Amino acid sequence: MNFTRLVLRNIERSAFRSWIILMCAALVAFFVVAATLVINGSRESMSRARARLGADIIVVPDGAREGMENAFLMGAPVSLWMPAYVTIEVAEIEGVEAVSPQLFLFTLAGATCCAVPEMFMVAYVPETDFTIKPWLLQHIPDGLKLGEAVGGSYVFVPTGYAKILIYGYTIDLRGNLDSTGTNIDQTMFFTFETADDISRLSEFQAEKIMEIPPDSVSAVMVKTNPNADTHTIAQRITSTIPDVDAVESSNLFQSQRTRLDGIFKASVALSGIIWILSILLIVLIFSIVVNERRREIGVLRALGARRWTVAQSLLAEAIVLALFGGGVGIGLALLGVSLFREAIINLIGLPFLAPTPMSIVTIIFEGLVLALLTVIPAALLPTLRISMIEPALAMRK
Amino acid sequence: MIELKNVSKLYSVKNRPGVSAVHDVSLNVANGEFVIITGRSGSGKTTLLNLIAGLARPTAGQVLLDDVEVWKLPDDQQALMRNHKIGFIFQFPSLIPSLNVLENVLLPTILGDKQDKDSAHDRAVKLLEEVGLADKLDSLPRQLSAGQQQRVVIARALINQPELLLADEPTSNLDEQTEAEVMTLLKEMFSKKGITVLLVTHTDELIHYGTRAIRMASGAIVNPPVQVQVTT
Repeated sequence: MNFTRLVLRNIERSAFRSWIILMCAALVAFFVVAATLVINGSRESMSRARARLGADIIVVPDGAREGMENAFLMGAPVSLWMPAYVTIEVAEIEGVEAVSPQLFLFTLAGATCCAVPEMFMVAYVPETDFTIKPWLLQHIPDGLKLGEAVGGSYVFVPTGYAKILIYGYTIDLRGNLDSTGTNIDQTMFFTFETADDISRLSEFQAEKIMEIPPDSVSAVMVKTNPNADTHTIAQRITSTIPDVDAVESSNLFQSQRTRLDGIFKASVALSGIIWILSILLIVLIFSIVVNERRREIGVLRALGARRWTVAQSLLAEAIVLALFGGGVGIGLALLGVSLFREAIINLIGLPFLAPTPMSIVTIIFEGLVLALLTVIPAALLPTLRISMIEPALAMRK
Repeated sequence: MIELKNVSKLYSVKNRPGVSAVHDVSLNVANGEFVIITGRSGSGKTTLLNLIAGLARPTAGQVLLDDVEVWKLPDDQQALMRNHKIGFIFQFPSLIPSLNVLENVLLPTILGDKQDKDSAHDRAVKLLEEVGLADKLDSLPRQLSAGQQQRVVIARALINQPELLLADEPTSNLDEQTEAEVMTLLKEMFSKKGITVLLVTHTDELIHYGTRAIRMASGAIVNPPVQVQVTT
């Protein structure tokens, strides 16, 4: 017989009360943890995507900003073309240190020529590229040759194939980039030379030609001088070169970030409402239970329980229920977010990166603290009230 | 052992004049006495017991236990004093329903600062043997009769080897035969363990179990003292 056993027996005894408190703690933890996983994951995704693109400014055809962002984040097919000479014009703008053009291409969805589902592809110029070059120098120092590619973390050679087949063209996958949680993870990168080769051969090998308009590029990646003001340079580009939009890296995914802010605010508001309602419900339930056990508490005091012992025993019940309920809520949130990841991405229209083991530990800790902060303050008032009462009065019916 | 000096207890009631439960009571109880306090319902017997145990704060007067004024002690020490020195038997069912018989008897040992769990366990088993419940250690209170439950309460009251046993109408919910059994048991414990007993009852029929009897009416002790013929 010990104090813990007494606490556990009391929890068992007040089954209804215990379930309600457990559910409240679970609900609060579930909601906040799930929202945190999605929102933090989404922020991290966009941040990594910006870092992966590696440019200070991206120049795209005017009005194509959102299409480009959606292609990188969600893999939405996009067709962006502007004259290749824009690259030279951008390079001549004051404050621009380096430029490199890119082609944005898509595989054919469900075509027999392609062994992969619809996939975003980016072609770059090895001589001028500075976006994936740092990664290539570290992992594939000799760079990509004709017919070779690197992919995002989810790009792999399908089972039964030795290479990746697109537009009837076989591509040798040389490596995988780190995960970003965005569509970049499902993007393949190869050289302009490879892109031209695929396009040329698709005429004979594929159901449909992979068209690359002559002397066209999809985007120009811009690196500015370290001391230059990126915003000024972006303005200079749009005012000097007609029919282009210069997207600053810091403004990249602006509409998605605005949407995420909205989701964050709604989550905070909803979490607050759930938290307050849970506290009120627990105060009510705990008051009823404490009142039911009033005489028993009087008996405990008569048998030698200190005020603090009585409070401790009731708070220990609350803590056990909070931790257990919090654990259940956190577990369900982790499981739910992981199982329904695709559905959530489609629902909110934003990608999100799966949490790292370290961030899971932090989230579990935060969820449990929140569950405790829900149950303990709610239990505190009735607990203190009953523990302060004169034992003789507590024993009176 | 117990000294009450002009003790009064007034219960305040919202928007109404207070109710005087005990009025100007002075009483001395020496070590080794078995005092029966009788009186009608509402005469202040239970309140007097609560005042002695430090379960109710007197409105006026002093309550001394072994020359220590109970209400001058901080809560911690009051609780320890109750745990070490006083055993309680209540009028109402006071066993914790979710704990079995043995755990109920051991309950006071986890509330105090005595740490010797093995000897507490042995003592609890021995006490339950003495009250005739050696075969009910694992039973839950609801599986016992009212008489058996009250025997468990007696064993619980004695587990910390108290110097004083306070019994508030311990037989009020029992039939005549069980009442006699419980009173005989209490008397046995009193004789064997040499503890001081204060027992409250509404009936004069139990007076002969004590060594002294006091009658209360309207919150005060009635004089002259009741004559007691001690049973052996």
